[in-house]
Amino acid sequence: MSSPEKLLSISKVSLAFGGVKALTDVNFHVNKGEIFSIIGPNGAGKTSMLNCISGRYQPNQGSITFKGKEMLGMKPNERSDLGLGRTFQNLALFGHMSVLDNIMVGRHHLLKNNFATGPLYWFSGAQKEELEHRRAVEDIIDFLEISHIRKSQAGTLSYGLRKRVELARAVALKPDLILLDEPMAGMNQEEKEDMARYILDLNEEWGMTVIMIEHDMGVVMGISNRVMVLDFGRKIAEGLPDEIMANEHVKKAYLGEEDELLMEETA
Amino acid sequence: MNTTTHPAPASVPEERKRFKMPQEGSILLVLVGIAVLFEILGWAVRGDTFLFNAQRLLIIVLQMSIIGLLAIGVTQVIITTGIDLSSGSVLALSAMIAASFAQTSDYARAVFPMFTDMPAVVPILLGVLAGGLAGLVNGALIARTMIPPFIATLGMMVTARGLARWYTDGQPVSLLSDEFTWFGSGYIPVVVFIVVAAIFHIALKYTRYGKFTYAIGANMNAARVSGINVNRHLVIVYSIAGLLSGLAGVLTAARAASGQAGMGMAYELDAIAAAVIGGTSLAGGVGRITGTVIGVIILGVMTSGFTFLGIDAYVQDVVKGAIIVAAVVADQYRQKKRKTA
Repeated sequence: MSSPEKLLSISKVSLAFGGVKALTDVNFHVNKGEIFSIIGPNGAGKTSMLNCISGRYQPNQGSITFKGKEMLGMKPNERSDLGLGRTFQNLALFGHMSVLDNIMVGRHHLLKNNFATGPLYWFSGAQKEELEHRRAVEDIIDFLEISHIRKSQAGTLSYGLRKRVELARAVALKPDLILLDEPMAGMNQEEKEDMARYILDLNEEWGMTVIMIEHDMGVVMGISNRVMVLDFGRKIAEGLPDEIMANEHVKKAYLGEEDELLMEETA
Repeated sequence: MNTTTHPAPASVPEERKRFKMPQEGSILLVLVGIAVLFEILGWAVRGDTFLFNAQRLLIIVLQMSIIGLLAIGVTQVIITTGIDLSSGSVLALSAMIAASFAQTSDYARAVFPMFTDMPAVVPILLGVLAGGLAGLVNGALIARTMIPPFIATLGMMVTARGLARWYTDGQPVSLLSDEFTWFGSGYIPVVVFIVVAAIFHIALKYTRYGKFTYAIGANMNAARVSGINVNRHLVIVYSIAGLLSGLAGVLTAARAASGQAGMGMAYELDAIAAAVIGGTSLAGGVGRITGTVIGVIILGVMTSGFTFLGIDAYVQDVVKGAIIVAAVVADQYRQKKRKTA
């Protein structure tokens, strides 16, 4: 724990849509092996932050380095090749495909066979390759306990299950860093507990570093190593869960009071 | 797997148990129904068989193999939520280019007097590549400038037709070598169509190319974060559609033993119609080559059947239009059912 390795560093990232400032000078870093949570009121810029990391948005300024490489200017798929996976707040699944196929897509960019060799399915090793990947997919399916729905069409499943399938799709990329946007939104307590367990296992057993946006404070404080708080696109606090719980800025941000302390600092 | 923690959620396994008719089943029934209807009407109106006439069946298959090639290309484009309106015009352009390099030296006013009596492989390759290039332009425009596929391919539709006319000032290109026209003779176009259909059926079903195509159509964002280079894949999909239009153009020129700028007029609409009738969803993510092939045959049987019954060509178009709309309505209905299921 003496000098943890930085996996992701964000420095001075700002993002504006026209005149609306979504993010202003945000700095933070995530260490390898951490569960790092981002919290904040609605519209604080949490999802914008994830979008900047995953490549959906280009920040107006700042720098995002992952494994020591500058990621600005990289396409989303190049970022996933580097080892970045993510899920979305409002689910990103392939609704018409089976659960199995959804997860396979996440692995397909790792496949070697192509348009020319693929049609020679049985001769070019495409079949063998697919079987190997299927085995890896089976591990994920077992891990997330979705074996009973593997053949179901993803779009027909219940919300909680779809969330799990989406997580499986993201995990299939074998990312080193996984971004989870409200993995537990809309879930009941039991489902939340399951999801929290999956996230902990991903972190501890699969060795994935996790950045998570979540509103359930019990979960956030329970499983995070460190927490960052955003409000109006600015970082207002960062630290251990206990420190955050005790932080005056954070309390005010959540209670919606005028924060004189903060106003002075940023003025 | 510990199933004890998840005691079989009641809502889910039922999905697996329910017997599902293959998507093609219903379309195949429609095809059989239409064929039988024409057979009955044939005996009633003309006192003759519709189906059991080998020559008529051959004509149906021959006519439809060209549309079929375009339909295969547009099927994969529609699966990515795109559309390709340019296939008919690109067919014409490719036919003109291929024909201009297939002329014999007997012809005094050849387009390229120095390129007469070429081996057939030259016009074939050039024609197919011209189509591929048009598709590449379509794909690059859509992926790079983010303009809607409808607009990009509409532009190509007008441009390619214009190029085809401009190429020879609207004059047909004729007197083509026997070696070249052989590729349009007899069953060759049908064989080409069947082979291409088989390749694309496998490619869409079993390869990464296919999985990416469906994934992009189902959810582009999820596709991007799943590590798919969406832009590059779209360029490839449109290029392949262009190559197939080019191939269709080469076969058309070979069959007609000439290249004409008016070839393939409105074929793109038949191709799209065949794909949609065959169950390809305009909303993307859904569609199969087998369905499209059946859709193509349905269109062919209808055209042939109407002609057989002596129905006015204009009325034929009216009915065809109605059937295309009905297919899209059925598609909407299927989607609604899928969502509420």
